[in-house]
Amino acid sequence: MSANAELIADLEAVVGGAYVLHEPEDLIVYEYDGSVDRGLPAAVVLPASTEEVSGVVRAARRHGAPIVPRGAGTGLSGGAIAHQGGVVAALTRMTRILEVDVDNRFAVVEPGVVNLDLTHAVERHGLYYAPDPSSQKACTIGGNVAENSGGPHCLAYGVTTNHVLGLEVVTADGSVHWLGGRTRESPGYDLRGVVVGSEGTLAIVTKAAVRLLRRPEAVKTLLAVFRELDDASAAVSGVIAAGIVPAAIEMMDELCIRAAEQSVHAGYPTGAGAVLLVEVDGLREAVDEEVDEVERVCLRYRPMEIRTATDPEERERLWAGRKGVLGALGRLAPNYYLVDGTIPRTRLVEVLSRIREISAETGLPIANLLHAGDGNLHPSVLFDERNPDEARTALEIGGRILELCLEVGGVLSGEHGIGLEKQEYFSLMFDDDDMESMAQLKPAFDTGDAFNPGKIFPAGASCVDVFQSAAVARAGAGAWV
Amino acid sequence: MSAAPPSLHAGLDAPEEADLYKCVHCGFCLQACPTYVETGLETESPRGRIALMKAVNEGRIEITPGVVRHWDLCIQCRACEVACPSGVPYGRLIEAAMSQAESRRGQGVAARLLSDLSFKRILPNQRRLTLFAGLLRAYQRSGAQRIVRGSRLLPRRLAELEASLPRVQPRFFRPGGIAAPARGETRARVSLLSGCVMPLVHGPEMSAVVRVLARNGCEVETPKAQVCCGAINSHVGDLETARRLARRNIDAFNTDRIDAIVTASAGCGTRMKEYGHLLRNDPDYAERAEAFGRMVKDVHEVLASLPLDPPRAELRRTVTYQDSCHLANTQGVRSQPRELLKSIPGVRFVELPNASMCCGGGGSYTITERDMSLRVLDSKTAAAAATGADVLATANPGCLMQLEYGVRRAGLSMEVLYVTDLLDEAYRAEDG
Amino acid sequence: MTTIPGTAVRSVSEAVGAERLSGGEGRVIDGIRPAAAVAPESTEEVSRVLGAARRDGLGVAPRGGGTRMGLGGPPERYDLSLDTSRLDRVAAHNPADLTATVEAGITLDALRESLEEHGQFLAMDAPRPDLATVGGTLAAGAIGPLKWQFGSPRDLVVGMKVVQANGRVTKSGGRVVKNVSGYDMARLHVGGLGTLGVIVEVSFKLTPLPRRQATLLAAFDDSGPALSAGLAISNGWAAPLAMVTFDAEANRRGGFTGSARGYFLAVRLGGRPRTLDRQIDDCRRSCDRHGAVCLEVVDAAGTPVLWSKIRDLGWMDDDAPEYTARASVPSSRLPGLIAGLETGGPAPAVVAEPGYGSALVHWFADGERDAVSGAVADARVGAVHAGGSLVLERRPMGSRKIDPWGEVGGSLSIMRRMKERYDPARILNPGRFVGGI
Repeated sequence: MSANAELIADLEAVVGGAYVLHEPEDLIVYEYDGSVDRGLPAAVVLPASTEEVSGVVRAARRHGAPIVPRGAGTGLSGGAIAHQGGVVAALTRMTRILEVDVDNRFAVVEPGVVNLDLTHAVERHGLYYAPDPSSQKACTIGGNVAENSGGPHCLAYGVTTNHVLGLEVVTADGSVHWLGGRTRESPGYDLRGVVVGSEGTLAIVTKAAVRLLRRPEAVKTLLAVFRELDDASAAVSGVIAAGIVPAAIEMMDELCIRAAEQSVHAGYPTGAGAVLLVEVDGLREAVDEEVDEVERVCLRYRPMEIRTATDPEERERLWAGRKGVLGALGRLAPNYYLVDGTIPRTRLVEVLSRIREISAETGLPIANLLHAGDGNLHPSVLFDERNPDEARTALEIGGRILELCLEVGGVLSGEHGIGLEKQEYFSLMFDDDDMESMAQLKPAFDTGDAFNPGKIFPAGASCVDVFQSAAVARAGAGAWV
Repeated sequence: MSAAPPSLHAGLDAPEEADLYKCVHCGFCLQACPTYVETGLETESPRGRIALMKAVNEGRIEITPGVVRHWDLCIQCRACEVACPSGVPYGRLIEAAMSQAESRRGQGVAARLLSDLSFKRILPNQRRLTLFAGLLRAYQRSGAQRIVRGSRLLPRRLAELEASLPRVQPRFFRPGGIAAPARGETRARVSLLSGCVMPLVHGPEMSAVVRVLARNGCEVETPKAQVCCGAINSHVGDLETARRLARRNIDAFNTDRIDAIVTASAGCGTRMKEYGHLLRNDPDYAERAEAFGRMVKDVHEVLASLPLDPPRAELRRTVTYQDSCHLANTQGVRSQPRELLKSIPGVRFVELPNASMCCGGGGSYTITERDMSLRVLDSKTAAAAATGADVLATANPGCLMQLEYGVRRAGLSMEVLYVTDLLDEAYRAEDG
Repeated sequence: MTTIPGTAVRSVSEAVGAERLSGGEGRVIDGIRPAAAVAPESTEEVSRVLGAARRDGLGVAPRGGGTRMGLGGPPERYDLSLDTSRLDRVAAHNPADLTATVEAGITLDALRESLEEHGQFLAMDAPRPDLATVGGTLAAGAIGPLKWQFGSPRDLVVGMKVVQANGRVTKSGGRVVKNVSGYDMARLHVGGLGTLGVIVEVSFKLTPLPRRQATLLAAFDDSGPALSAGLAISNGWAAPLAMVTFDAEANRRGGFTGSARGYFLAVRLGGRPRTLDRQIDDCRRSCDRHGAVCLEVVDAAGTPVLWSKIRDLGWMDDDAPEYTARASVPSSRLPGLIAGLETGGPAPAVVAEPGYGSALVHWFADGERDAVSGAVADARVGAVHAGGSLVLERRPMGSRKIDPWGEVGGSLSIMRRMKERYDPARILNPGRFVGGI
């Protein structure tokens, strides 16, 4: 038996033959996630329980095969890609909601539970799960934990880490541990807190106890249209500076508006250069008072139009342009490269204008879509992958934008993670001591480099040439927020 | 791409590269896909199937039986198209992929003969199909069915198949000229596609469709020369036969004197609305096919847009509604059947959670992919039972047959009815 | 292991100069007096101190305002008290971005004053903000009533600079409010009691000050209805900034309200005028429904005064309890936990947080030490039985009877490896953390 055949036989002994995939046509569909990278695993295994995950980890480790945990594969930084081969452990069969504790407002779920399904399962109790990444219809809680996912509404409610009480994890020796608990505080190091956002490198999550929030009494959405992008950016800074923290502040620039108009006919006035969507929720009186104040702030920046809505259908109409814009970008160019970075909210005007300059200089259009309330940028560089020069330029622009984010005091990623996509930039943000300190977490959790090796940290020498060739290899497709 | 090696997609019906590479593998389609939801396997997802098409296109893999297996398992409900933010025309892609697979399919001789017989010889020929349905009706009514079932002689799979056969109605619906004049003022002239299987197994229900249209001021004709729309052939990748049927239908319907071509079957409606793409390379028909497609309307679309003259009699029923994939996903007809149901006095409408998820019907899928079809169906039936409704309404024959079988399997007392049946019942009650 | 007296003094004066050194009096932990205390003035100096300590194997206890030195077990070795109070600058405050970066030694009061000018605050309150520092509060995981609305301080930290036991200065996170770049290392140091590194600088997200504030104070006959009213409020639409119940004993010692008898609920509310009125109305109704015998609205001026008293109960030098414990249980188990405390042995003063599921319990010994330690042990059993935990925040000097942390379960093995990785020489607070880490 070949080494690979032995590995497969051992995995089959754990989960059964039907749940170990190794034919070429099966592996090909596990070589990608939502990002632009690729990597063919040696086998894909789909465990159905904590015990099976533990067995899978032991089996893979016996054969020295790296293990890449995977949820729905919607991630945007390559976290679920087996770029060094090995075993992909897909957790999509672990989809049970094990417990919903209405009194204490938490749920215990398996990692394969789809984000939005959890909200659907608890909404009859007037509860919901707050983190709402754009992929929430498809992405899993396990994947959200790995990437510490955000979403438009995390401005007020925080990202995944603020909503995870405890985790059951399998570590690299196959042992099972509870980190954190079901209460808000537990003694000891906050291991739960470091596993959240660790991009599948420290442990495999097999259960998560997550907080559930109560649906707000009222929600109000305000849409403000501006002729100038700078005015909209200034309005965002103005809202934050006025001491208002809405549930969400989203922003789109003129290119996005054009795309959205073409696809979903959002009804924006002609000549619109930027759209702001502000959502406020909470107590009815608070919502009214805050929206009034947001409106007053926006009025200071020469809006062309302001609309507000409270009933769900009308709000849905205001959101339509924003929600449809990503798909719509495909109408402007065959591909786009979506960049993710965060900057201080006071630097929006400046950074967006510098991005405009980069676009003018390189000749590639850049559409800007922002979770503006928390300074999370998503510039999308439009290009055609069939033109290798354009593809290369698009990636170079991505790098320049990230450097720009760092230059103004921002960070490399607001919500997509580092993964494979940004590992070559990691050393721009952290020095050797910082990285060494982070890297020590791996041996603290396991011995060896069992889970998701070769992610986050720069791979070897990060000279420009290496990056360029890696980047060109990646210039495959667009990516999503 | 020049001179493709034999393993690659080839010929007229190959998936188009421009369509294929619109997919940026974001995964937004996953939870819309019934086979992915059932299995949790990327291999049984739209994104996975497209990845395989891309791999074939790039020469990384051949069209092996393993590859075809994953395409076969697609129900073609096209819910993924609705979920897709990039506008990937999945329906077109999977049809094309299936046609590539069709030419390489290594089937057993018997299966091959059976599928050729049913899809190429019987289905496209209404006389042969009627004869077959007559035989089935005789089998069901003569007592032979009881004997066969009692004997337990059939192997399990065949027995299950036999059990899921629709009960053929005593009267067939036969097309031929004007089926009904409008009642009252004529508000529209429409031509009705009578379809292939539907007039045979659901003759009375077709008559109800005609009555409801007429009651709402439609003059209804059913052209005699019409044939099967070609949907089933398209699904299994036999695009040649589909094109032949499409051309005959384009000739059969006189589009000059009517306002719309109406179908009561969502799969047919979808197929006919997309005749333009099917015949895009046929210089004689391309233009007419486009125009034809634009005239096609689903009966619920027509009724809701007239708008409907609501029944005056009451129906005391609790009704839930299952979307038809080929209405909701491909034609965007979602609100209309619900509005029609809610317009019936006395009806209490309850929404079925996840109503847009396929029931596992999908035409020949119930036969070719029996196990998966039943898994999907049982999930659906359980959800329907949980609504507490006493009527499960649907707007498409394939769904109705599948759901009826599901309700029988689960031993529920719930009735499965067409939306138009309920309307007809209410109108008849108002006539006294 | 013992260290030769004088080594600490020599080694540290070589590293940062004798003028940074002072004697160890007043820095006693659990009866142990260190050889010296050092107060570095920069991150660089902290790094040099730790480098020297590592070389010479000194036991180091980092110290902020010194309010929490009673937390944790007795130190294995204690040669040097490392005082961060001179690292007290606001490195950056970006009011329009609602973020600030501060050195670890700044006191909570000093930071509050600086932020208040801009209508903002850091939503982290700990007892004795006049002394307590940002770094010490984080390391000790000491959190006050504001956690009810704003959660653990770890959720407010967006970036952190730490000097590791090997003297290396490392940073994680950033200065912006949303960030997933690299591991969230700060999580390990918040509540880590300085055992993995010394926090020297922290970036926070800030919160706008509520436009108006008020407190609804309600008196009930006993704990049951007070806690039920609190739960009802937390299930309602109002969004309190803080909410606690307290008993007559707590009230007597803290002087929260004039009434001598009863069980009390205090709800701190904030918002724009109409929002505040509506919340007061909602909370008032919940209290009425649960049989409040007396209701009072404390105005904007009285609210901060009342809440500093509540926050500081048990932490004033002139009235220190024998034991202080923080229990954390699922919210629905809180009434049971409190009922247990009321019936088992010497009655403590209890300040609990319905809807959040935590309780601060102070036992003032008044001469019955053994009975008290029995009651504390029982309370631990009760909290664990309810699915939670109980940590001793204060205990009598030298007492070994009760593990201050309790069991932490199977993940202790990972925590031990954590310590081995980040402080292999065990110089930082050795022996004081969970499981003897």
